[in-house]
Amino acid sequence: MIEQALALCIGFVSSIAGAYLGIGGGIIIVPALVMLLGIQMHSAVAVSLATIVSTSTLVTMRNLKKGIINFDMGIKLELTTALFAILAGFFAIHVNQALLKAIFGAFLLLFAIFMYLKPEPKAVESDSGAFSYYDEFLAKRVSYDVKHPTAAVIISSFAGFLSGMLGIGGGIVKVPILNGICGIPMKVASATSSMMVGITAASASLIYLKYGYQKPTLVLFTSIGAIAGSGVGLFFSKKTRNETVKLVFVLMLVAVGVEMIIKAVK
Amino acid sequence: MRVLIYVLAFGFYSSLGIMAAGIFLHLPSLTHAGLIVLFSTPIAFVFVLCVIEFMAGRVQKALVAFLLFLILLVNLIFQ
Repeated sequence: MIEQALALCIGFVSSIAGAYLGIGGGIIIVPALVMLLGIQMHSAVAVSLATIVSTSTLVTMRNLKKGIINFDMGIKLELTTALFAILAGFFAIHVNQALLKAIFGAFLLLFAIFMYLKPEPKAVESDSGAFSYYDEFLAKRVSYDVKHPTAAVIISSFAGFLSGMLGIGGGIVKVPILNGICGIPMKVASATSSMMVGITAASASLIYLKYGYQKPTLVLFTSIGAIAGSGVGLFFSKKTRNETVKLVFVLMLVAVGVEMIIKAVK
Repeated sequence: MRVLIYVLAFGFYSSLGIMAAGIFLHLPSLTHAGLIVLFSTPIAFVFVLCVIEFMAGRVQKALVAFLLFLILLVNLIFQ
C-alpha cells in the first residue's frame, strides 16, 4: 500500500515538472523510484518512460485545447531526433560513455548560457508572425516566427544521437532547440516538447515491456498521480511569464549539465 | 484538432481502465494489453495527425508526419 502511495506521489511531482517545463521528468522519477522504492534501475527506467507517456498524453490533450503546440516544428524535430536516437543504439556499446557524458554536459551548459542571453520574443498583438498563440498570463494573442529551422533540424539530429547513446534527454534537448535556436516562445516550446517526449518515450517503453522490466501496478499509480500533477503544472504555467519558465529551465539545464560532467570525471 | 484530443483521451483512459482491470482480476495478459494501448497512443496520434494534415491539403507536412509514423512503426516491429 505504501509502495502505491509513493508511486502516486512520484507521478504527481514529476508531472508538475513535465507540464511546466516540457521535460519528460525522468530526472525526477528514476532516482525517486530507486531510492524510495528500492526497485532495480532497469525497472525504474521502464516505469519512468511509461509515466512520461502518461504525462505527455495528458499535457498534450490540454495544450491542444489551447492551440499552443507548434506541430510543424515538433514533427520535423521529432523526426530527426527519433531517427538519430534509434541509430545511436547501434553505436552505444562501442563508444566511451564517460567522454559522451562530458560532451553532453558541456552541450547542456552551452545551451543554458545561450538561452539565458537570448531575449524572449516580444509579445505582438497583431498576426504579423507566421504562428500565434493566446498567452493566458498576458491575456493577449502572441505572434512569432520560427527562425533557423534547418539549423534546428541538424542540431536536433546531433542531440538525438547523443541522447540515444546516453538514454536521456528528451525535453532537456528539445526545449533549448525550440526556444534558443528557433526563437519560439518558452510556453510554446515546452508544450511542443511535451508532445514530442511522449512519442519518443512510447517507442522506448516497448523495448522494456518486451524484456519484462515494466511494473504495471507502479505505472497505474504514477499515471493516476500524473492526472492531478499535469493540471497543477499547467496552472503554474498559466500564471507565470515566459521569462520565469525560461529561468527555471536554465537553472535545471545547469544542474543536469554539471551533474553529467561530474559523473564523467568520476 | 478535436479528433486528436479524442485519440489521446481514449488511448490514455482506456489503457488505465484495462490495466486496473488486469491488476484487480489478476490477469497479467490484460495488464500487458493495457500497457500496449498506452504506448501505442502517441504512435496513433502521429498517424491521425498525418491524416488531418493530408485532408487539409498540407501534403508536405503530412509526408513528414507519415515518415515519423513509419520510423516509429519500423522501430516497433524490429523491437
